[in-house]
Amino acid sequence: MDRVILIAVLVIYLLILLAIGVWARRDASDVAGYYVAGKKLPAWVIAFSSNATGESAWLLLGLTGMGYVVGIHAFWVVLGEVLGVTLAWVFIARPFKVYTDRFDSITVPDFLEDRFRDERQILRRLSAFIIFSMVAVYIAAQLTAAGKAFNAFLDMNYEAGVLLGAVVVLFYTAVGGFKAVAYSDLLQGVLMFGCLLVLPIVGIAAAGGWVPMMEALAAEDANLLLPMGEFGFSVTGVFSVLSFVGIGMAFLGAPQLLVRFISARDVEEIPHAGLIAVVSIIVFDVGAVLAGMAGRVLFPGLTDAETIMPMMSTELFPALFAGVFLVVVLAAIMSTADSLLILASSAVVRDVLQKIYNPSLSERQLSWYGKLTVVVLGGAALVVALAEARVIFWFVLFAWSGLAAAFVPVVLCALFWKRTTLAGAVWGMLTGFVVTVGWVLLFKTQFYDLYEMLPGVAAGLLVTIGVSLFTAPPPGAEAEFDSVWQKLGASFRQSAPVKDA
Amino acid sequence: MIAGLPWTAWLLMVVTVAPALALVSVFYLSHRRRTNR
Repeated sequence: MDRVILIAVLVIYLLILLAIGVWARRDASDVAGYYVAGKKLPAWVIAFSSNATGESAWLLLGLTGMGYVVGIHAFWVVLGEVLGVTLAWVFIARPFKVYTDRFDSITVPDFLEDRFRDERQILRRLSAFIIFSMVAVYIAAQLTAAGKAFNAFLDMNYEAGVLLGAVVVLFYTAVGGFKAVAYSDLLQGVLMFGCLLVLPIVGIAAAGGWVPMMEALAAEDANLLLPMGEFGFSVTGVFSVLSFVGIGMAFLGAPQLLVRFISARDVEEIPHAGLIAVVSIIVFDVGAVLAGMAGRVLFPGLTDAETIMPMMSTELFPALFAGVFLVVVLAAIMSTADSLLILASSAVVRDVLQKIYNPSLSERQLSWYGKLTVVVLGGAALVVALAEARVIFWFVLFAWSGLAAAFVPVVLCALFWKRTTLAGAVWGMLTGFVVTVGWVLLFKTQFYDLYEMLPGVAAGLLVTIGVSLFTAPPPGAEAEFDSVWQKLGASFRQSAPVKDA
Repeated sequence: MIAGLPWTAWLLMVVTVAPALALVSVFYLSHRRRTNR
């Protein structure tokens, strides 16, 4: 009976997603419609969509597991993510939106090419390569996670789980484009919000309340309640904190998140969306860590800490809710996979096919190529996920940092330093990416496992600034920079007009 | 210990949440004031 209820909840959820795909298809017939939903999205949608995209299954399984294993120390991850999201909405979103509206950009490479007057399209080629290579395997890892979730909750065959998850995501992404992705993200984000609000409350209550739970944790291991955890104020402890905080830096410039700012209806939507996004990311992350801590008291001694969330949902809740929790894990996976699919498709169709090889293709043809790319790429990811599940899972954090280290330094300099040059941007992007890969392969283990994003972003910033100082900024770019900022005013100034006359 | 947790743990939690909420609230409110004119 329980299994029937679980499957019923799942089927309803999957049908809603298919319906969203069909509903959104009318707006997906041209390039801007397919990749940024015609720049018409309201605050609620872009806010939840960016959070649901940034947070994958890692939030529900990985961060709860981290709360389970290290306790309060996991709050450093929360600090990094909350700060990253806040800084992105308060400082980056508005100038980025104004620039991309002015350039009529659809993708992040569009923006970079126009910002730096890159007539030889070096930045576009480099960005498309980095996006495509990082994203392809990232999607396979998400499908793998879908298979594992089906397996854990429903005892369903792993391959069948991967296949079912992939078919649904591919359908609504291919048919409905970015609009379907964004609205399904809204639904998925709201589900994640509800789950991470309820799970810690029920968990803490089941553990006997706040103080008894903390006392039980202290009795189990006093380090679980210390901010520096088992390391104390040692070099290892400080490097661990830096690595945890560093995870959130990707919110400052990862292309799959920046696209949300481009797709906003208007720059006026951003302050409203920012407030929603910050409140919801706090609930997401704090909820996940506290749920993991409660889980440690309720179910001590798990061999795999990352199963604590499915464990709590099946043991503490009736079948209906356990079904909802399965849906929430899938929602986290799907909301990330769909956004990556559409991002990779835009890198192929908009950045390479339309802008480099054949600008004469019609909008309708391009939209068809976009759909085809989604299906081909998703199919390839499906094959990888079915063939070899385990080897590739480490790629998630790697791909997250590779994308961020390539784009964060260049985007920050492009928006905040008018002297940035094309050569600086190209070398900065290349350095950020190469240092991230090199750090993982050569140095990471020798430097207290410092997370690769930090050296990647730092090197990218240094090189962007250093090379820019020795080269000339593109003609007209400095005046344009001044005019963008004049239009915006500072983030907190009250008098500046925001809209064009 | 305050409510079962050392004060350093509370401090970390406050630092995690409060500055972000303050920053985004001021951002939102200053924007609202600006657009209401």
